[in-house]
Amino acid sequence: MGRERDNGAGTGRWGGSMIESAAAILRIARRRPLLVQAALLLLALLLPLPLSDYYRTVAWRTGIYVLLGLSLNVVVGYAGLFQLGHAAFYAIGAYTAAILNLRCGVPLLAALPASVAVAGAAGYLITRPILHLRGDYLAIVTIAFGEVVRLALVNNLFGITGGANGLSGIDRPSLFGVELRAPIAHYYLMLFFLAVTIAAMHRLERSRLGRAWLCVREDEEAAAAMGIDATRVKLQAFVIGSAWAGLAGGLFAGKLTVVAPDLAKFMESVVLFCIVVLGGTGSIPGVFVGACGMVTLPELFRPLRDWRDAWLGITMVVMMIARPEGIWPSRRVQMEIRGEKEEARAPAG
Amino acid sequence: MEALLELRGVTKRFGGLLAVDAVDFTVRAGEILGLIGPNGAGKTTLFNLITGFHPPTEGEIRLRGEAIAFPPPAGVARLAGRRSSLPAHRITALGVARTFQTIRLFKNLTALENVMSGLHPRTRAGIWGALARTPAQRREERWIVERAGECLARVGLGASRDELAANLPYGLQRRLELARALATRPALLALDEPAAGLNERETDDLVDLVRGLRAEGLTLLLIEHDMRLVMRVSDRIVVLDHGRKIAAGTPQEVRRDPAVIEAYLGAEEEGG
Repeated sequence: MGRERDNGAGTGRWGGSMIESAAAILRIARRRPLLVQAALLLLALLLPLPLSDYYRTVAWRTGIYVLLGLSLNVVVGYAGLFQLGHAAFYAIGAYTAAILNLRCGVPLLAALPASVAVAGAAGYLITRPILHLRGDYLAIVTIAFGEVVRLALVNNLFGITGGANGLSGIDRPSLFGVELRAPIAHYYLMLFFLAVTIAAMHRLERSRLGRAWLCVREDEEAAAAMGIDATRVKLQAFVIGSAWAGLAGGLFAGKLTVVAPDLAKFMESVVLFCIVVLGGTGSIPGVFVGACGMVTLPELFRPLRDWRDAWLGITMVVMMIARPEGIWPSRRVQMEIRGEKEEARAPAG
Repeated sequence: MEALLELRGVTKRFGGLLAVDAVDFTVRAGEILGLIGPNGAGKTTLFNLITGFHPPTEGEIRLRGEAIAFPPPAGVARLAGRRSSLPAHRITALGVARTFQTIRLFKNLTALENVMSGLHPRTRAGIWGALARTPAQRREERWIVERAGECLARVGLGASRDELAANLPYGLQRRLELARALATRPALLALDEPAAGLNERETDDLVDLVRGLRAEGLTLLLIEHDMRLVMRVSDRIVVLDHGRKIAAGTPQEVRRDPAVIEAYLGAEEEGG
């Protein structure tokens, strides 16, 4: 209270009252998280109404990337594992929905659970043998696995993935007999799953499993000494993350009605990794910020699209120097990184 | 007294280095056993063998008669799926908790959260419980917070529960490590140099705490450099030198043992 008053006095009467009212809003926000959540949800519900179809699609795409970012955040943010092949699971989810729809005539929304299950199972199979790898080694192997998945899709695996052209002509999802065709319908469908995902992530963060992830990330041996099975909880992080990416893949297939091996390309995984790391590792709002920076901005400045990769590189370099913990980091990661910096700066001995 | 932990011919080689050489001893239920020896005698390695961080090269370690550590199966035995030593987290779940020589707290977690991690093996909520927030899961979460609070209070850290571990003063960090180990509800508590870096008063508090824990039925295995502390609290002492056990017995016996004086106390007196 006292400090806020001082600030106010320093900036004059008008500035002072503005700072005070901003501080008051923040205080209310902190005391009433439900109010903030309701306001954000209302904003998200109203957002597409004044927009054109093009911008509604941009909003949908951003939402899909937030979903993907949140799924990768389980692996990278909570459990601290480098996963640079995450797009592979996105592709597996999309292909699962597409194949079930085209071959077996399963309606798209009914195929979503299968997308989740297949992507989760693939996550289990792929990561089980490499769990003991640490840090950069794990990153290298995940890159390789991502490429293997992409190449398998290109090579028309089992003759059902359609080769380099992918699969097209997927049915649009329909709800209560109404086909979802307009971008706004897809936006609301995405928003529903996004809301469910955020609630789920929020719960995971504050659970026994979430704490075990944090412990393993901080010190694997100490975690083992506390009776935490590091291998098991890491595997759970991978499976949950992969399964959730599969969900985003299924939603993607329903909107575009086309899937192609490019979904699993390495650059896609890099963008997802950047969303998590630049936004703020381990932080749900951070993923939103990251997705806006990595997906929405390049989309809004379409003429500069060719510069997207340069933009990615430049932001990465600038961020790593200026703010390694990300734009909106979780409290813990911020302390971790700031603490390490200070330790490094302190004179030896 | 009943044997809680038995070591039989335990040997550990790191390449050409023989860190622990055919060590036998028994930890009886309810006692405080001190493990001493000069630097590099193999005490911490032995600790790592007991707590499952390394498998022994030879020999066997038994907890309540059940083999928990033995050489990793090789060749045909491995292919045939013969079981290897228990991993560290299983040994913790069976009732052997440890602290580390250099403090290894989860620095960016609060004191309470650190202790909550120790309750992990005693609770079971998984992914579904967390996602659905079932009544059982919520009950368990409340139970975890309650127990963790009790463990903190037990070591006198009740007031610092929401403090970040990294921000606690050194002496309190040592205690927090102890509270975290206690949360796993061990039968055997293995402390690796718990008094390192503590001042005299803090060491006295530690002695009281260790004795209090024993009175509650806990068995303690104590590595310690501070000879006065070991002599004060231990019921029996095992002395290691160059990886070999050179003496064992009560503090009085060990103090008079010529081999011990030669290897350890003699060198110590010269130094001081």
